[in-house]
Amino acid sequence: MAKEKNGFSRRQFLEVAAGAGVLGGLYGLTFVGDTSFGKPRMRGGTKPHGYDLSVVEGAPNNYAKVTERAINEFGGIEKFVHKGDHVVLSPNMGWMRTPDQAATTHPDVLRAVVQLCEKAGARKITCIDYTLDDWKLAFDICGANRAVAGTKATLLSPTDASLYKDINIPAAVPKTMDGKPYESRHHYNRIQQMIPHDIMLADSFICMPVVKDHEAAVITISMKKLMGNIWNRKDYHRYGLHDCIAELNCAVRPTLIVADATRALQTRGPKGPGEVTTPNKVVVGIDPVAVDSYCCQFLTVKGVTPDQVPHLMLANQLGRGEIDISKLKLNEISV
Amino acid sequence: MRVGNWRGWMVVGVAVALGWMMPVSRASAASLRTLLPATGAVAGWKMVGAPKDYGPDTLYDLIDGGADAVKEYAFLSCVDARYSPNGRPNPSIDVNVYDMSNPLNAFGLFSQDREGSQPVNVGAGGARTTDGTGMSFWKGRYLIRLASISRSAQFKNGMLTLARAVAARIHGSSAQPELLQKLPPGMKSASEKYVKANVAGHAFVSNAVTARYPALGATAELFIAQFPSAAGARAAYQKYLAYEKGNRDLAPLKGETGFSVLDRFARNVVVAARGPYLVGVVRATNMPKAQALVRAAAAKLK
Repeated sequence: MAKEKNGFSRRQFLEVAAGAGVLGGLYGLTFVGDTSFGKPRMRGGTKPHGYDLSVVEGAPNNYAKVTERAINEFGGIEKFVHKGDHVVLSPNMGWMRTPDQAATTHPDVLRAVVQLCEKAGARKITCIDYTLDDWKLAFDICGANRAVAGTKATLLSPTDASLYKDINIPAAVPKTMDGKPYESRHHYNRIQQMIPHDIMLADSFICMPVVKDHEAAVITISMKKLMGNIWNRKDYHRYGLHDCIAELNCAVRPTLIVADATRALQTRGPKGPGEVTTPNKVVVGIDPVAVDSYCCQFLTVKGVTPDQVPHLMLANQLGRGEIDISKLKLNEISV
Repeated sequence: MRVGNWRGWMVVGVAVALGWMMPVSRASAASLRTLLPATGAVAGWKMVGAPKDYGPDTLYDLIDGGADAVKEYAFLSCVDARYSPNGRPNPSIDVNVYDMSNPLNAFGLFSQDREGSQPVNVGAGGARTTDGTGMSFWKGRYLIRLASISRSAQFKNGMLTLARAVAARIHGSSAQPELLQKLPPGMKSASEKYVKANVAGHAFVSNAVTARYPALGATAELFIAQFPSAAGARAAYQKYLAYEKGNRDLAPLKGETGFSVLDRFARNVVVAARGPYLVGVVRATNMPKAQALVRAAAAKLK
């Protein structure tokens, strides 16, 4: 067999090329079910008991029980977390603020959800929030470290781009709004967005916002909370914050929302310090527009109503959820 | 040739303009540092590390999404310093000084900060959160925000002392917006605000003073927006009217270019256009009282 100068015959070259092709194909197969196509694989939530929201009120020394009861009243964690799941929790834990200052999710609420996920058989639990303050200090001061101590949950502040993957948001946004053609802000302004790899590959994604005032977005509850899970925030501020929040919520659909209204930061949000009240409630649902619209009533100092929040109005018009709380089926109880 | 010369002068002009603008922002950041008390200037408090400067493009790194609200008020620059009793970084008191370009904007941002807080005697007006961990005040063209995680008496007193030390370094007038004088009586004390944009949740209403009127309900609010012309006010009025079409009990407001309506969210709403002004009440619990308040406000605008 004639050999080329480099020692490879044509046949050997073809064999190697074919082998590489097969290996390449096999390698490609590993991406089936992965997120290179820009769509998170998390399960969507359903309303097991027919309620739109479950709302439980209880004493400050009982926030863990309040949280557990609110989830149980909504069907129980097993409806949203299956055995062997990788669960990603998205609490507010990015600020160097104490629990009393209400800029972050209460550690008792976070711990209760972590423990419920463990009980449901979660294989892996990751708590994610992008921290602007020093993450070590933030996790410590807000109580997140304490919340996950002794559990299998880990805390992550994804401040490196390598931890993110592209997400195709325009593909998830409806093409019409109120019967008229709608071009997504992401598409029009060519906004490239990424979310953490962990969230892309999560089986169950639980959004756990604290109820807060937000100087720019009016409120930050479950819809705005998703901005704690994206890489490119500046374009949102540049091209239209509310439109982008509404569209992001079309693409990233939490399996469950556990809104922490045990305390509410009324002013100078999102970081505070500001005025704080204690509604002592936890609100559970799957519709982010409904959860956030309902929780507006807790922002009493400014008297926020859902119509004052453009991203709620937009998301409602895009069909993402219900803004009129008189239309919601509520399960409100005290413990 | 003449065209070439013209282009050349254009390039020179742009370069000169850029050169003129850039030192201004640098000068602004540098001058802010002079407002900060140095270590030793306030007994018992040391500056931790070096202050950090922020501009419109970097303010997000300090206060995240809150930056948008600050930038709405013509923000120029900010300096962030930390103080602690022992020079260690934690716990500390953060002192952020914002250059808001003029007193009107400084007051505007302060008026947002003070809502629900307790008044405190510092600068041209100050407010402290009920738990004592946050404080804001304004003076001249500056807004100053102080924050801590400690509720101890040492930190609460230290915050006030540091605030007064900064205030003492600021000179110049601290005039409030003239439009505030046009608010009718009956408002809740210290509820007046200067709002740059998105008044009452509407993008087409801007540049307004607002105040709470408890007689109409705990969250009832009156706004007076000033437009460059009467035509601008009428255009905003028409947009508001179009927005409310379809809601219950939409009716003209007698004697005014105005309407009243029962909005599904903002409850009793009354809006009227008068010259370059748009006046309105939202979230009122009583419609006749809301109408009377709008009429009273409109009358002062003659």
